[in-house]
Amino acid sequence: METTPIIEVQRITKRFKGLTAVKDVSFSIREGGITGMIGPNGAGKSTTFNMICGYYPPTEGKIFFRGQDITDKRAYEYTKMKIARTFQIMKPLKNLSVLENVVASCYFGHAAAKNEHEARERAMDILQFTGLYEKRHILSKDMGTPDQKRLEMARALATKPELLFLDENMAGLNPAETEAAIELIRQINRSGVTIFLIEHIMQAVVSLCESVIVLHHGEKIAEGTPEQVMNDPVVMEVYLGTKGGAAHA
Amino acid sequence: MNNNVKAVRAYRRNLSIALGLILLVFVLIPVFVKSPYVLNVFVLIFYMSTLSMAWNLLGGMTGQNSLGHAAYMGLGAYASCLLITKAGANPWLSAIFAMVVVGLVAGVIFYPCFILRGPYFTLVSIAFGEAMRQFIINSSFFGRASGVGLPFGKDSWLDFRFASKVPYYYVGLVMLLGIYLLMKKIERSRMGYALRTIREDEDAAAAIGINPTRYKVMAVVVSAMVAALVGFFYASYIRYIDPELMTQAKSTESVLPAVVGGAAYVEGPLVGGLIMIPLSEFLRARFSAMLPGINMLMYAVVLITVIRFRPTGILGWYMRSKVKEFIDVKLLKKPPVEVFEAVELEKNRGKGA
Repeated sequence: METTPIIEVQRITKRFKGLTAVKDVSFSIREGGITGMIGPNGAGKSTTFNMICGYYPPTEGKIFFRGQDITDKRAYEYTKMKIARTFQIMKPLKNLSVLENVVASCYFGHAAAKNEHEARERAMDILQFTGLYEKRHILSKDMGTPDQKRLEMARALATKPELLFLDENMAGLNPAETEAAIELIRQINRSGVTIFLIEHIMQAVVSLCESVIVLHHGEKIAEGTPEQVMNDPVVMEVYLGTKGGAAHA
Repeated sequence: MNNNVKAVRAYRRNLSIALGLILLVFVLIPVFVKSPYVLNVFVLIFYMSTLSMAWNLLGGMTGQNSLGHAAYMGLGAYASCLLITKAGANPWLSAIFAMVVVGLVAGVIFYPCFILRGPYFTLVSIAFGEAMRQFIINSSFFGRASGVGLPFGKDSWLDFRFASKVPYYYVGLVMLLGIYLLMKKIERSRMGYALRTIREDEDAAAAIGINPTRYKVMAVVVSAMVAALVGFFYASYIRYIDPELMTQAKSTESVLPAVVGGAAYVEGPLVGGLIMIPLSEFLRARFSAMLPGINMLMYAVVLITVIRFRPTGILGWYMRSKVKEFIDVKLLKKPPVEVFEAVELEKNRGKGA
């Protein structure tokens, strides 16, 4: 039963000048599952996320991918390792059409398309899968938030990842759109992609994740199944406060 | 489905005929136009548009604004001229030499700038151009401020030397078309998509596995090589070069056709060049005798007007205009985009079976 986790984070710390954004956080991500990370604003979720994605290296600690040390890998080296990410603040290629956005991704990664023909064909499949096919000729800057969030996922999927990092992919969506996004993430996971996500929306985390990590003030305060985490007294205190109003230090 | 295939074929045929006719006009111009002045304007259009296409690979496609393209052109001109005059090399070989040298210089100089983001590249490109100019002015090997002349002699294809402007017209036209096809090829390739992704967002580029530094260096090397080729053509045409070739004003001139034509399009520099260069020449010929400098003033007004009212360039406007719709649908009988996709899909199925 115990296999090597796809990602293992060992005691990472990130300091920005004097500020310690993340302190001594360790956890692992099981291959094939959906792992979530929650926490109040400023808890260090995005910092942790960006360290795992290679956007900046941790000040201390190590990150392993299938047992291999990837702590110092650059962001663009991740695609070849079959890891893809999305951005919390969407980064669509604004002046390109939705189709071109995805075609660009199809040209890169471990299974990069060899010519435009192949890239377009694969992009069409991914647009069908993510429900953007009808909008393929629209400039991506002209789409609304829900579709731009989908496009983020479509672009990540086009690199054929085995591990997908989603950074607040449902922020700003209404309940119906959230439901659709949850369904899409489930489908992606069922197709064999391991998922690690940061999310604010509890409904999404509870219904999707098999394992949840809770951060607060840059430290991990709880880890477990969604039920375990929800019933954890420290987590309840952080999210709901205590009677005396004393915050958890 | 069969109708779709027919419609696409008919459109492709109409388009080829239209493009063929335009090309034919350009091929026939020297047959009917005998004025060396008019031919000179065309040669000017050809090489300035080519230089602008080189700029556009960086400025338009990659979003890295260079203000030093006259330096690459000048270095290319010097490299080929010196190889011809000092080593007696064949001009055509010297062109290849110039392209390789200038490509290497650009790659080595700009690699460190591309590790950084932001306006550093633009700043360094200005400094690079001026530094090169000063270096040449002060180097006796480069002929200092008096420049380098190429030998005159009887007409020869081997030495790329003609008294008439007609051969330069055709070579310039071939160079323009060749570089256009190269840029078109790059645009649709992996490199083209990488460059445009970098232009839109470097973080997004890194997230799909693009190493931004590597692709930006590739772009500057290709761009500098094309500029060096233009420099070689210029030197062979004018047969005399001096450091004035590399002034800041010349670098700006290489930007204008692309910006006015539409920097987002590979065709932008062609359209911009076809409009701005004859305009500039016309204003000079017509008005500069009346009041010196008035032609520059009028040119500036036209430029400001275009940039104020058509910020995406002439093509940026044309692509969304009724004129294009009319030409596409009524004249060329272009089918809707879905029809193209259906045909593509059909072809793929055929291959799969």
